[in-house]
Amino acid sequence: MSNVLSVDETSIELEEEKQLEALARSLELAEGFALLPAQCDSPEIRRRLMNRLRIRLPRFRIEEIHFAEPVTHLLDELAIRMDDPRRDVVCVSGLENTISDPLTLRSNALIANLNASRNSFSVRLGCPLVLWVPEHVFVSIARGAPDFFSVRSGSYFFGHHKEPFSFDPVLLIDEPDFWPLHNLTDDEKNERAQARENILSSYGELPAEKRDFVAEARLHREVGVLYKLLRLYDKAESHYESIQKLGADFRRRDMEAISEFELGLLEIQRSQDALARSQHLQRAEEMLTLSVALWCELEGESTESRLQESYRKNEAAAVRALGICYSEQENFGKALEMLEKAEQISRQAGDRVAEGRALLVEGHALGMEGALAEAESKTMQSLDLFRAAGDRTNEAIARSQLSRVLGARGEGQKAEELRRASRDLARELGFIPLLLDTLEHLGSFYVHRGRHLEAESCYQEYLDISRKYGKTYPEADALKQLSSLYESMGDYQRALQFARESALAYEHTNSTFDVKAVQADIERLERTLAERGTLRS
Amino acid sequence: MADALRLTYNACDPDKPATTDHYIDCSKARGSGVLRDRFLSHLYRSDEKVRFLFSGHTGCGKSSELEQVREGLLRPEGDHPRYFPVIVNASDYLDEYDVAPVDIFLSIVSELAAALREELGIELSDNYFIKRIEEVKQFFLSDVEMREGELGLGVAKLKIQRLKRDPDARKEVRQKLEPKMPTMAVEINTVFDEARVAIAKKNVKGGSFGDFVLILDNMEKIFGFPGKEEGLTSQRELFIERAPQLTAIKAHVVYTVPLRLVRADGPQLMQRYGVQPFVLPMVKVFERGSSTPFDAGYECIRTLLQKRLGDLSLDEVVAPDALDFLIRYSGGHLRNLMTFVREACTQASSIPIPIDAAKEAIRPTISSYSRAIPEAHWKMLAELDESANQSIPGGDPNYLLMVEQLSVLEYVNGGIDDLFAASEPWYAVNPIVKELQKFKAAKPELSKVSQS
Repeated sequence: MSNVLSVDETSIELEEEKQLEALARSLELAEGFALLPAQCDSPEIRRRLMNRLRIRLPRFRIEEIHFAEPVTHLLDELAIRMDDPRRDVVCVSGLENTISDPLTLRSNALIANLNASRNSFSVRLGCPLVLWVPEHVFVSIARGAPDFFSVRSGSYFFGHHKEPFSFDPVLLIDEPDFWPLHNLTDDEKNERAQARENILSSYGELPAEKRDFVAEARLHREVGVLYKLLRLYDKAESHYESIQKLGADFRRRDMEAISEFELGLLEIQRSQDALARSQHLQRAEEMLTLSVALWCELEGESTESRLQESYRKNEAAAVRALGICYSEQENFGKALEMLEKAEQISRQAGDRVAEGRALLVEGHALGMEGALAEAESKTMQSLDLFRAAGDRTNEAIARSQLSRVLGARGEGQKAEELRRASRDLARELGFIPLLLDTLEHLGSFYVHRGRHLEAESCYQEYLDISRKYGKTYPEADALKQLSSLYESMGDYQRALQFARESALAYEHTNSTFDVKAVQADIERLERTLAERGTLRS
Repeated sequence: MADALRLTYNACDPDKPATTDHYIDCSKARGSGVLRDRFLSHLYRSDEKVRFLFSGHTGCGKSSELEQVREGLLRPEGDHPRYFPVIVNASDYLDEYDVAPVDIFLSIVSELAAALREELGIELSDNYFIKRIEEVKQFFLSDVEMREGELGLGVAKLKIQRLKRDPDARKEVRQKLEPKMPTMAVEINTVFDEARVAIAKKNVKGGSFGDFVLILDNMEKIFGFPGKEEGLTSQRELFIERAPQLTAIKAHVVYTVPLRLVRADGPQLMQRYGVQPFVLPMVKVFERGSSTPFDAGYECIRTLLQKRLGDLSLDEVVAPDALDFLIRYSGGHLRNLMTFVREACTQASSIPIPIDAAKEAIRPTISSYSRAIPEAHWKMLAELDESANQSIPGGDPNYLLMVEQLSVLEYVNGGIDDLFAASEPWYAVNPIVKELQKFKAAKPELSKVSQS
């Protein structure tokens, strides 16, 4: 393991000390009400911090109120519970018992009431209010009660912040052969797809004996990938179906297997952007199962060792893709069964990189399942294989995934270091999709830690690179992330401006799902600004 | 008489590979197969694009063999398909001491486009590479040329070749294009597809072509890779570490690779390219482990020279003892032989060229070897000469350098009686080196050491 992964507890403690001192200074300076949200995921760390706060502020009367049961109106509940009229500060904890599911945050009554009663807090409380909340509650208040959140005098972050595990499976789905196509600008993708379509059309004009159906199949496959990356899924599908037709015309079942494989991957990709995910994943499962069966049949029938080896490699790729499909369906048992099989086939074939890819996807599935220790172990194994094979692009992807696993395990410091290393490697390799992914994720990491300026810098670079490389979808996403960032910083006007730009950019991506999501953000921001009387068109 | 010497002098140009008229099959004397047959055999049987590695000593006749491949592709025997050969002469495009994959890609695309334009009247119009050239043309075009508009692929060849002599421009071009190398490696295949379809559509005299074959000649001369030590380290970087880029091209390709690399890293090359390198050994002129002349080798070289002389009789031009002398000291190295014959023509005042002129002819070569061989090599050369089986320790960098510098020559016995012995290369000290005083002095020293 590299030094990047060495534990740096000292710096975590130093950071914690700095945060606690800042909170104590705010409490000393505050006259009357001051909202002071403090993010801390661990009740144990919170208790320890409270003890240190009492030592730091010996003359302060600190009243602690913990809500073990759900509440709907914080201010009303506080009024009932507070019993020390001479208190200098109120510290609240336990709001996670009201807000447990991050997905329902915005419709939560407590959140809605926080916003509605914002002006009453200063009148009825008369002293600083420290809200000890875990990350998801912190984010939900910032997003769901922006008015309330905007009056905060500061935000404080403690402990090993855990992040939800997420990793864009696009880099796991596509075969490495096609990664260079990801680096093209969207205009270039269109142009290159057109160039290939012209060649295919010329091939079609040749007499059968002069046609090169292997080259034609490859061209159809590449055009399919280009259109898939442009989110022109129907066009991509038509090219993958053409491979099937070539296979039938020239009696090449390997082409049919390739076609089913690519169609399956296309359906997984489609499911990322669609509301009806399960239908696409169901189709993907059927196609990939068929592809696996075809490769097995071909391998069984072949007597040539060179062909058998090639079929086995393709089978491993199809089984791995099936594993991804099950993982996306959250059928983790089946996913892991498939991925272990893919790992085994690749190992037997002596294909160390493919074995590493299988382990990497296993790590992803385990991370999605929440088995983070195992996810870390599998991802580390894949990283070792990629390093041994000198495959730096896969190494960068594995590092990025590992950073997410560590982030989810609460190893924020190590996760940040790894994420930076992955970003730097992606930059060095000129692998734009991974560079964009790491910048986006690093930005989100900083957002969750309240390091807004660093987050802004990451998102800005994310936006700049997206624009430089003509990547419409990441550009739209970068604008959306900047909008969310400014919203959480209380700069609603700027947040709205970026959300509107994002909506315009999404219009060009063919992703109705994202267009709808950002429209909802715009409506919310407009409502907030209208309520505050500061809405500008 | 003067005409005969002039004709002989010009017929033995060491810089010109043998044309089909001059070519003879030396495979029995070399102990190896014929490149053309071996390559075409792969080409006709393979369902996939063929990669072929070809190696041999500098000047041993590789370009003549490649010329034969070209002929075989253009004029196939029986009902085999025709292939359009594209010979990319790396020496026209690359500075041997500073070569990166991006330079090789540009040379391949330029040469392919030029060959199709000039020989078949096909204009490639692939926009991706036109755009890449547009991005970098400012570094190697004059202001006037810049104003001439877009540089088409078919006419870019001579301008791209300027990069060979302009290290600053090369650096700028690489800086701009290297980040795009992975994509270029995919897109070069689209250029090939465009070429393939255009070739298939074209009706040409002698029958249409099924596909094209890239022949990357003189790649074995590449000595330097940016940021790497010159020599074997650079060759490893280019041919082994960067093999994924070189093999990403989906076309039939013959790569010429350095013999030193083949002998140092043969298994790695095979693993990366999926094919065993085909090595062209010297024409054997003496038996293994002795100075006994190998008659078949002498005969082969005599025939080869006679072919070059055309209507002139070799016996009339060179005295038999002079010819045997030149063949013996060439060690079966054909380019050296051609140089010796040329030199002998300048030393002779009449035909047949006498033995004294032949002796004078090898004098400059003796002088160059005498000065070029490092002191540390003499003892090792003597050891090799003394050894019973005339093999070199695997991977020994000193011996590999000697092979590269031609102070040691590689031979193969060939034949079918004992497959393993027949295929195993053996090594002999260059006959000229064996006559040098330092070599002769090293041999008694060696015997003193072994006696003590």
